[in-house]
Amino acid sequence: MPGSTVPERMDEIRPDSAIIRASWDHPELFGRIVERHHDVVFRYVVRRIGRLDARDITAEVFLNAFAGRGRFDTATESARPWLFGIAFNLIGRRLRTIRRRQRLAEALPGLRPVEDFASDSESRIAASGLEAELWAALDSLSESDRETFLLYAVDGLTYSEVAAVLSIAVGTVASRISRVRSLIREAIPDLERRVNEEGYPKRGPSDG
Amino acid sequence: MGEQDRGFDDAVRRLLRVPEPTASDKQHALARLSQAIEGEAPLKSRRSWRVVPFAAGALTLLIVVFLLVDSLRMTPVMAAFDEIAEAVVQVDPHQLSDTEFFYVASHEMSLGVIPAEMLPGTGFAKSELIYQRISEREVWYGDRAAVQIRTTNTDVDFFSAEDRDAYFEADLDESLDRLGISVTITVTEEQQTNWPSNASALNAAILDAAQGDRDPSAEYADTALDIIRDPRNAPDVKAATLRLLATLDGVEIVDDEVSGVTFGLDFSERGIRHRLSFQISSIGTLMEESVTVLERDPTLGLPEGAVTRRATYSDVDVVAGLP
Repeated sequence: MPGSTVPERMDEIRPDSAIIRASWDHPELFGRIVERHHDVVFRYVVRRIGRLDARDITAEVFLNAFAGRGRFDTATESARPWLFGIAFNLIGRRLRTIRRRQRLAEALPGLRPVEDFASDSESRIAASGLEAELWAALDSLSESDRETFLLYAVDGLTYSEVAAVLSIAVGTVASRISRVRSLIREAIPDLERRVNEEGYPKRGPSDG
Repeated sequence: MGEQDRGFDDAVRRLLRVPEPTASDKQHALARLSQAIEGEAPLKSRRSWRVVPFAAGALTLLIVVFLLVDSLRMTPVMAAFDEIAEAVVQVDPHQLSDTEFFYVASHEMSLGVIPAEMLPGTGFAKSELIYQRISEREVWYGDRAAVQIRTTNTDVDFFSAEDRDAYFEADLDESLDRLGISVTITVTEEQQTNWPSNASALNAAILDAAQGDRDPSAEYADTALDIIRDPRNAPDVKAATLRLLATLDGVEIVDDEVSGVTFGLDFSERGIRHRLSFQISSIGTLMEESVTVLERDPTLGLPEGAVTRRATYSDVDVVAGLP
């Protein structure tokens, strides 16, 4: 990173808010936010729109965050909900671009149609057996229930972080997650046993 | 969260194998950040007395540009509506011939309210019977004044066994809702068919039409949705309506999918919080709308989360003649 004026004992500053506040005067410190949260944001982006654009959109998330770091509420310790909120908006913009291209493709017969982004998720394409059953169960849920559950269970956000990303109450998060668990258990009663027996690799909710 | 839930979530996580980022993915993000930092740093380091006057001028210009851009900056809600509005005006409107009609089918659920005096001899103890009526509806929109509507009430649903018993004992399925029987009516609509496309004139017209006892924002949104739903309204009118909806306080994006965007708006009716949700396709067609009570409604005896209205609409077809 360019610049050499790093506050002493920076490593002891744990919360994201402190790093972001310090990066106002020492912009190079913002790299630590990238180091901390890149992988979890990347997985979220992949899950929403597929691997193809994930690298660029994830980089855009941090560029947007860097440019807007003066607006970050430093009373909030974790930057993760803020970063997910930026990602959410960027993905929405990307989806609108895809829609525009789809309309163009429909209007101009010479253009090759753009595939629906939802079919672009490699994990779904590759899914078979138990994975396919789980995707089917998830697809039967409402978008809001599914997104709430996946932000918590797969992306590793806490209840309050999910609430902040989706602008809903923490109680709503809890009830949605509980409802989704019940519905998946109903659809695949022996899910845990089969996952253990079939030897799927373990992965932490926010590792990386 | 219990141990059981933890194990369950872990199993889900292990199954949903989201591709992992590579080291070069992170490096890419860090490299782009470095470029941004380098682009920012010179602003601080190049200050000198010789450039101060120029810098002051440039700074003033930047502030003016920033303020201008900031005032024009779109929120995500505005961007979503604007995107749809742009698509709407690209569609060439179909001009109906004398024998053609726009045709829309819908699956609807509405709340029925029956005063107790309509239930004599049933032993019904409450002041009103509240129930959900499910209908299939077909609408043929002709010229500016003619609309034919065919409605078939297909089913009813209740919030309690007591309500169900009273409803069927009073034979309301036959005498009132006529379940399974199609009823066709033809109406003429002389009012509010010529909405202006100028934003301020349209806003005034909607405000004028949006009179009711709910929050003004809910009345406004309902009137705007009426305009969007009607296939006879011109694309520029629909586009202007969408852009006005975007400025309504409290409208938020609930879901943003390729097929369309779902918006939400919370409002108060008789002191009870409700939520209006509506989904608009990427080319500006109203696909679905619903109203849900967000808290228990003691007056109507509705539980939290009860849906009081829902309609799902088909695409608009052009058909020759009426059935």
